[in-house]
Amino acid sequence: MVAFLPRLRRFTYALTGDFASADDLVQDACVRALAHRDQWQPGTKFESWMFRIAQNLWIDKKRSAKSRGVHQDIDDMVEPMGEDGRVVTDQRLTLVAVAKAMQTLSEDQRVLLTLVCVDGASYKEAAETLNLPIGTVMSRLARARQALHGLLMPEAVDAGLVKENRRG
Amino acid sequence: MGNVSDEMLTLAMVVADGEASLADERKLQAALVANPALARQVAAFTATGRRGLGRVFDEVMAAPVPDHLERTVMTAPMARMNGQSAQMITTLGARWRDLMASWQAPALVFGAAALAFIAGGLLLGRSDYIGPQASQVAALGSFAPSAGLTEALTKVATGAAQKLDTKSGVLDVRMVETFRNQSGAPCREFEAQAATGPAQFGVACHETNGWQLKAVFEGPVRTNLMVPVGAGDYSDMLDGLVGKMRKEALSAADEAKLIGGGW
Repeated sequence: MVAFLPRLRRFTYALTGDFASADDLVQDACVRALAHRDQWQPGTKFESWMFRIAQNLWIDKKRSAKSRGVHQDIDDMVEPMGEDGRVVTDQRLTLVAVAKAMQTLSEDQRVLLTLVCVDGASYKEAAETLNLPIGTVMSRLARARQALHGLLMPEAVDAGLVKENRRG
Repeated sequence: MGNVSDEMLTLAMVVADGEASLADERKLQAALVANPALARQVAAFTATGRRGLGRVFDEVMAAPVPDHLERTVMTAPMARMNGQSAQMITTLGARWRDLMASWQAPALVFGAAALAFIAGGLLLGRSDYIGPQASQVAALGSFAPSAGLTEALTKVATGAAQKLDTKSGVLDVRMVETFRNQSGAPCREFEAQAATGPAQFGVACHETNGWQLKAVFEGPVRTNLMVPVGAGDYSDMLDGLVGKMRKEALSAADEAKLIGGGW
């Protein structure tokens, strides 16, 4: 499980958009997984099981925060790194731009986008993880990516994210 | 997007993601001729795909995982620990009884999570460990080795093995590594393997009162020090423990001096 932490952390970062929330989610997911490890079915993918746990916890937390009226702007959550100079800062801005744009997507879209486009799952694997028909995965994913691309275009041009798009 | 159908959009995404069949690709090529605007969609899907969007998140993947998250994994309470304790103690008992001077394991046997906690941060090395299996147990403490194991620890060079006749059968005890721990005491990692059944792995250090077993593990067989795929939980923990204990590895010449001098 320790070896899986970087991947789980990338998954939770993509969902939450900041390291502090991502790490909290990783911690909660690990604690829950270990406490309920007897529920993991040998022969099924451990990663998918962990992602589902993290996803459910994230949705619970979001709904709980919403009911309490808690809101934090992502711009306030990001701490510039600085110590490694301009290159690091530029990379961080790129990551932040994407993370910020992803926050505007629906929960379902964000999870799907993270599984397929960030973690590299195939459509079939994502469908199994989310217990969705593969057709739903594909149509939902296409809509999410169109929305994200539309949001990113102005920032992505500056950040160099969409060079391939410009070529097209 | 206006004049591009949902079907064509999905097809553009499938092609951009490399999940398209040859027939899909041909269908898209034909559609591109009829509707050049579709090319922009393929490019947009490429930019938001694994090679575009995915790369942006490499930074998160490469960032060091905070220590507290690793500690959480190593120390979090696990389901059914209490129910497994008796079985673990019984399992560890069989061959380790033959390798210890006196049997005191029941009070000192732990599941891996408790072991990591007691080790006080010693076991923070990376591991794929997700929980103890019924046949894999471990204990951490200070145990006096049996006379046979003491002799092997004292006389056998790293890489060599010695057969021990024990009540439960012949054990092939092989020395894996010799190193000095953080206190400067010489320590040895070894493994003991019978003809059948799980292997025993251990670390012993030569202290003022002679050899003391500091950690013992019982797990799946590993051949030529290679852990079988999917069975490395305790071996990984042992490697992590040795990594934390080790101040410096001893050369063959230094080890030979210690063997010659009776440690």
